[in-house]
Amino acid sequence: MNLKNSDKDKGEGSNKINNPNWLERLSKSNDFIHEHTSLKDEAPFWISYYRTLISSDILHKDVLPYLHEHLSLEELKSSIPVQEIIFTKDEDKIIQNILNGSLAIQKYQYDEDCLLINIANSKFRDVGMATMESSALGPQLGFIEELDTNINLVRKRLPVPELYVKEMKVGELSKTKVAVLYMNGIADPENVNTVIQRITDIQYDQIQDSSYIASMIEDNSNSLFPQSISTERVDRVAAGLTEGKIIIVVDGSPNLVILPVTLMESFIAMEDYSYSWILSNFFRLLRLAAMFISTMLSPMYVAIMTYHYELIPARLLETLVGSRAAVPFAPFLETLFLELMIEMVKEAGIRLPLKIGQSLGVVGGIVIGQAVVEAGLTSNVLLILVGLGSLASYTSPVYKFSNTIRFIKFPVIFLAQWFGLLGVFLAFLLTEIHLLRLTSLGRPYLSQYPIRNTSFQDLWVRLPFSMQKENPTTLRPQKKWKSTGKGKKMGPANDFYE
Amino acid sequence: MQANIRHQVSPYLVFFIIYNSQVGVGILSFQRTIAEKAGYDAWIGVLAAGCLVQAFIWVMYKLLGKINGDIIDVHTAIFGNVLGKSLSLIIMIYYWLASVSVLIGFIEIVQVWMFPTMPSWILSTIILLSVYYCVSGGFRAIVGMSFLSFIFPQILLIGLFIFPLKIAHFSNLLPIMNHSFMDMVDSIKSSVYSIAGTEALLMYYPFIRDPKASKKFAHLGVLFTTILYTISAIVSFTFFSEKQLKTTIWPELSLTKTVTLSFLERFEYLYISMYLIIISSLITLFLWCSSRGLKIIFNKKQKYTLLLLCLLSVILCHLNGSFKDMLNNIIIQMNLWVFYCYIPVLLLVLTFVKRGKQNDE
Amino acid sequence: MMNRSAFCLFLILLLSGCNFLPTNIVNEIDMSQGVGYDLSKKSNIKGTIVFPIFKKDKTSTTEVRAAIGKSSKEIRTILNNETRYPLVSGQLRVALYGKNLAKKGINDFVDTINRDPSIGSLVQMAIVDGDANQLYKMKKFKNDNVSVHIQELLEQNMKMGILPQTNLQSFLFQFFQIGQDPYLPLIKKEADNIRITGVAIFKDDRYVTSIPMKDFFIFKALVDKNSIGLRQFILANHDKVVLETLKSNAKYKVKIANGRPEFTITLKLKTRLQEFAPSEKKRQAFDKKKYQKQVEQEIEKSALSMVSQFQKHSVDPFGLGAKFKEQFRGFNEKQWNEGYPSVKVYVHADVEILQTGSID
Repeated sequence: MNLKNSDKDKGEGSNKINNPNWLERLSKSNDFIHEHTSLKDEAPFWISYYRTLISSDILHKDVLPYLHEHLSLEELKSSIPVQEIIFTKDEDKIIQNILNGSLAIQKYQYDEDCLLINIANSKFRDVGMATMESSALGPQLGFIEELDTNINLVRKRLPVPELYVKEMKVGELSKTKVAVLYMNGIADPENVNTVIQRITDIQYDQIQDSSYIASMIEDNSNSLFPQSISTERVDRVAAGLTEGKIIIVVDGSPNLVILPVTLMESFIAMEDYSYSWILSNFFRLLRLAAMFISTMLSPMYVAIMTYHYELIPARLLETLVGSRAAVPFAPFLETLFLELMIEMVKEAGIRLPLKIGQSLGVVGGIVIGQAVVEAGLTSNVLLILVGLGSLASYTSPVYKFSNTIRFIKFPVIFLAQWFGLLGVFLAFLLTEIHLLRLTSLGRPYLSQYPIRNTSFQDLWVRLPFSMQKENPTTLRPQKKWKSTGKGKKMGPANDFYE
Repeated sequence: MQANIRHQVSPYLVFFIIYNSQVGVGILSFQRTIAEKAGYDAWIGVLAAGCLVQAFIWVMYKLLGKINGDIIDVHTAIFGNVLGKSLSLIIMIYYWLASVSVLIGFIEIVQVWMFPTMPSWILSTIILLSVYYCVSGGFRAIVGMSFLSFIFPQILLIGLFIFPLKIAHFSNLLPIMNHSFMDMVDSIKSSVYSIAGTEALLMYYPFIRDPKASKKFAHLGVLFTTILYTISAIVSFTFFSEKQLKTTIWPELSLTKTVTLSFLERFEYLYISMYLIIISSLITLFLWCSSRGLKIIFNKKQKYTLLLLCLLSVILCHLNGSFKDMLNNIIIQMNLWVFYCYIPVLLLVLTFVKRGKQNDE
Repeated sequence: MMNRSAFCLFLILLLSGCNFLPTNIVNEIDMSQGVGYDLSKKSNIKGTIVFPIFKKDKTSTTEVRAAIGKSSKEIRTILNNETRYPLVSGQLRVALYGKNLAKKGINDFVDTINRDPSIGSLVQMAIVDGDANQLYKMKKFKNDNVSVHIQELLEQNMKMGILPQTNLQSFLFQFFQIGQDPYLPLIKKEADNIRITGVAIFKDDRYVTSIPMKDFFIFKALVDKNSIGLRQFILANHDKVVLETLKSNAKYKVKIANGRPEFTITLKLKTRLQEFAPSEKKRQAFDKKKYQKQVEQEIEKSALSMVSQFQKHSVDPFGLGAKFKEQFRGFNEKQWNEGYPSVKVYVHADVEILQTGSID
């Protein structure tokens, strides 16, 4: 804010004789260069740029050769073979562009008119595999840290003019480029307006990642559940767009944000569409079951071992009780201890460099676990349950959601300790109510309620493509049908083959 | 007065609201009360009571459809502001007492079956906290709870009937219709109380998007609960011998004791824990009705009326046994007189009043 | 917002510190899996409680404790004084009653099992021919779980063998059913083993008589819905036929003749041949029709003798009274009880041999 104000004050007072205001401000940095292009006065061009921002390659090859000739700025503009050239007097614009890697050319040192040539040095990694959301089958392409490349990847998949891109700048200091992508004619305009409105309302100094934006425009920022999906998969984004979802792309972030979403979408992997619909249903159910296993198994253990010994069948009794006969702690402490240990191993595995992380997993998982059981500090049945639970928490294809699952079992363990099985189901009840209240862009988050018949086509279950014909109605899409064809296959329609 | 369309729910959801409002702690123990006089013919009484409730649904739809609002609108339209609101207040108190009796019933079950020393206030507080959280989410969240409580525990619990049916003695039901007419009336009376709860419709009617279309779902909902209660009665009757049933306070829980899986025994502990979800959604619905009614009557924020009701409920839960019987008696009497006698009369009055007005014009 | 989260944090800290409910941590309780009651002197009861002791990486051992008292919970209180952990009854698997106690009535002891919500309804009950305490104390089972052993012994015989289905629930059902008397298995310590020796028949809650093992087959077929089991028939001409039931169905019909009820029990058995030894030691093809007839007669004869034994003791394990009540509206319990010993019962067996195995 300060920058802007001082900028304006000085801008008004400046005139031809004084140094342009911007020059004075920028030249405070040592990497700012302001020089004359030749020793002779015939070609009196002054160029200004940040050494660290521009590509000297382009500067020397494509720009400098033209500056030796005696040309006006307009003539220069048409002759230099660089795409982005602006002719302006506006100081704000000049500062902004120089800071983004432009070269400013002036005829005379104190000239107001300025030619801005974008020769920014953009070094980004190449487009590569999606590493966090990898899949065995299907496209492997992942987004990178550059906005234009990311939009380019999406446009390649959806080459239609209806794909609208709305760009904005967010962040007082970071001036991050944020783009909102949506399909005009499919996405609900109300949703689009809400997203754009909320992004323009953001007042924050810096935006480093798309998750900043995602959590700033969430409906309920106190919720454990992510109300948007962050993805680095191009196919997921493209598929979402065609269903009427809105995508937020943030410059400098390889993760794109998909809005609005429902709970069940966190169980859908793009790989599901590569398999037969029966198989992919099996996998979806597996992931759903894994969520329950991960959040309920160790709390159940606590509840049953602490209060409800009646529930254990005679044949299991010996295994369960025998395994923790020598354990000195209450089941609650035992479980909490082991769960925290596993979480620590996981956390350390993520923070450490890749190669060390792998070996740490082995050390933590097997060696410590075995030693803890040997020492009689926990029962080995619990070790199995906790291991299973932590394995299960990673089956969700959405990384943010699997972290939610990772966390959510701790409050449940506490409730199980206080109220036994009643506490476990109290946790279930509270989560249910919370999910019912939760919305994503004002649309109900819990996809199970209210029931929509499109939920049976591709949300809870995935039917064969011939039966997925409608766009999901929870998003209020403008376009109802995904497929207009009858979807009939060749072959005898009503009878067996002859 | 119709509610804002953003807060309204689809007509088919009325099925789940009706189901939810009818199934509470009653289904765990009603088998004994209905069989008190009519013996093992009492399941016929349940079916008859179901028909009665269907008629009651029809009456309510007729009544509310004429005004196109809730019961408070009906009362003010007929009796004017002061008298109308005080009559509505009685109904709101009924809703509240009904939810308290469900809460007390559930606390008693938890204390007898799971935690004999658990203080009442803890359980009532945690249930009412979740109820408050749900009600503050608006009517859509409440209906969501009804829906989800049907999907998750209820369907599973119905599935549990398979286990007692394996050793059922169906000949227990014979001979059919071996009791006097008065005994049957008695069983109908107690069944009507057990499957009471549809009266909540009087408050949430304005929240249904297309009330006319919802009517058939309401009837279906009653049909479902009637069948559920009948099946539950028949399963208990075939599982227990008559004198044994009369010694059993919660037949439904006692027969869940037979459920054994290779990794889990004694399903009644899980049953009670899962019932927490059904109970909470029922209490949510009734406290919503009551607090919304009070909000309109006294022109206070629903936040405060709900908080007041919750606090009073926690206190009531602490009162002891004789109070509980009194409470149940009050509710039975109110249910009978207010809903099965007063509401039909109200419909007649309203019909004449309206006709009279038309004639005046 | 700050206030609310601070309050929540405070609440969590407060609550995590204390368990306000009494806990039953599995390795800090002694779970009684079997109880036994015997008659002791001076109208006192000798109660036995059996509970396993679990050790890490070792098989469990069984602890048998006995005390003398007047009620079952009193006995538990006395025994609590000598156990390491509190005794709880939620894992109860089997309840045994000494024969002498059973003759006096076991209702008081069934009541507590029925009343306690922590006890399941699938508890096995049995009468011990002798002393329940002695049976539990057998040396052989010191390192084995004797209660689970007895439970599984009874259950497998009910499922696959010829013992009729019984447990706590069935006992209570029959006990409370008008016009029916309960029955329970009778077990005995024989040398080094626990054996099922008969079925004990009760009048109300008092043991009255028992039926021997050879009658199990027919008894089970008459009381259970679908019984499978094996029985050997030695026919009049000393031919030995062993049949295994595949499907059975007993139908009770009541007819009023001269103002008195008459019962016809139709027993349909679908069987297969397991063993066949004709008295002439010669291989001969099995004549289905002939043997079906003879087996039917054999069954009818023993069923009738069983019924007359019950009538003599005026006990009704078949639930004839209940059947009568189902089919006759003007049932009078008192009248029925008086008339029961002289009620006419006909048994009609219908045996069908479906398979003769891989040879004929």
